[in-house]
Amino acid sequence: MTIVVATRVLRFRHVGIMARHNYLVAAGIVGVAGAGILNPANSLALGLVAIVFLTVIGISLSFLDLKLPQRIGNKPIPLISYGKMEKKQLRKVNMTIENLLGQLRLNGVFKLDNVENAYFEATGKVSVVKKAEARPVFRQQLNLGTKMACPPIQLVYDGKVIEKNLKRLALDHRWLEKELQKQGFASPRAVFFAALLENGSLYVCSH
Amino acid sequence: MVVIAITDLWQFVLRAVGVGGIFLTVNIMLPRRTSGLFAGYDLMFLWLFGGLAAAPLVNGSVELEQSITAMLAVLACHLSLSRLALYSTTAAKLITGQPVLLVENGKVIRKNMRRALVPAWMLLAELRCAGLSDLSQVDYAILETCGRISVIPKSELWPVTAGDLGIKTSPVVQPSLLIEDGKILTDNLKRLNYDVQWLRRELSKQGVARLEDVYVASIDGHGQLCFSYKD
Repeated sequence: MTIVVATRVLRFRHVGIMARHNYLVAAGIVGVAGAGILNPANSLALGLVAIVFLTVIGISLSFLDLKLPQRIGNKPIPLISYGKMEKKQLRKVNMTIENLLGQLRLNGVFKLDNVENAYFEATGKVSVVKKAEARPVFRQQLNLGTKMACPPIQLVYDGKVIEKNLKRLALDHRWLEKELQKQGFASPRAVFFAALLENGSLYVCSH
Repeated sequence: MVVIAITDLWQFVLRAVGVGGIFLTVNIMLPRRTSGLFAGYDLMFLWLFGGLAAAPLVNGSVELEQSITAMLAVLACHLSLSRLALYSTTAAKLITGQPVLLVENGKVIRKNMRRALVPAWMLLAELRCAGLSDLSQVDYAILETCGRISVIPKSELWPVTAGDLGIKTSPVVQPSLLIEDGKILTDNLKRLNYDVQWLRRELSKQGVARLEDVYVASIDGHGQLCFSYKD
């Protein structure tokens, strides 16, 4: 239970693990929890206190990250600049050529001459910027005009209307029921999931 | 019972602060590749570090110094292994393993699948995660040393690029950060031959009254400013 609470308090970035200390703290918490299970001599209360302290440490390190990003050395390290590999930097970060090629493949790069820049991010991931002519065609390049982009907004889940979202959109129950009836549903109760899409249409799924 | 030794809460708090300090230093010293998990040993070392750093909180008989010594030893191991892999390809093969070809020219290599202990369902799952629905769409699939599978689709399924259509493109130039959390990054400004007055003037053209209100501002290669307010 404490582990679950700790992961919630540590915020999302811990689950996604973004920086080195996120790993460290996670490993520490698991270590404490594991020791508590293996050794009955370690009292449960003490283990809990230890996890609480580790959580506090994790949060303060994340906070430091927020306040002194430059100081903790979070700058991206260029591995490829303007199509040329940076041998010195690769050596410095202990990355073998196989490591680099593997990371490029995982980034969807199969042709090395397509890479303009590649960076070693502080999160440990390699990011790739492809050359302009090697990028997928953008809508802009074909003069296709703009579209509205917006994540779907949930309106119904498991038969219950999500009032907050409905209100935010300045819509009411009457509108929702009318829209649902258009798609053959008697009421929100008959619907498992409904969401408003960016083009104004309603996506509906029955139970 | 060892626990009694640290029932004194103050001592425990002191230990926790010490452990926090260890975490901070290790965080800075730890090689970047560990959190990138390029090979199995990166993962093992990373969890080992966390366990060692937290040890003084679990067991009262473990002193901070012991934990620090152990971590330094482990760090030295990690660094020397990485260095060794860097300078000798044979060592690299032993330490990090080699990428394994699972699919070649659209054909699954059963021998390699077996050797790498990858069942067919796992390969198909990875293909789906890469956005491909079927084996017939795959040209190459490679099991990387980090345990993920990279997939190269057949060329007829590659997205159309600007180059394919002969569309003229301007070179990609990376943007530089000029303001972060209200603080002006003078180094970046100087490097691009701009000064604070210029930044203030340009941003005020876009309606910014105070630079302190800006959360991030960056400039792209074409001199286009882009910013976001704090609130």
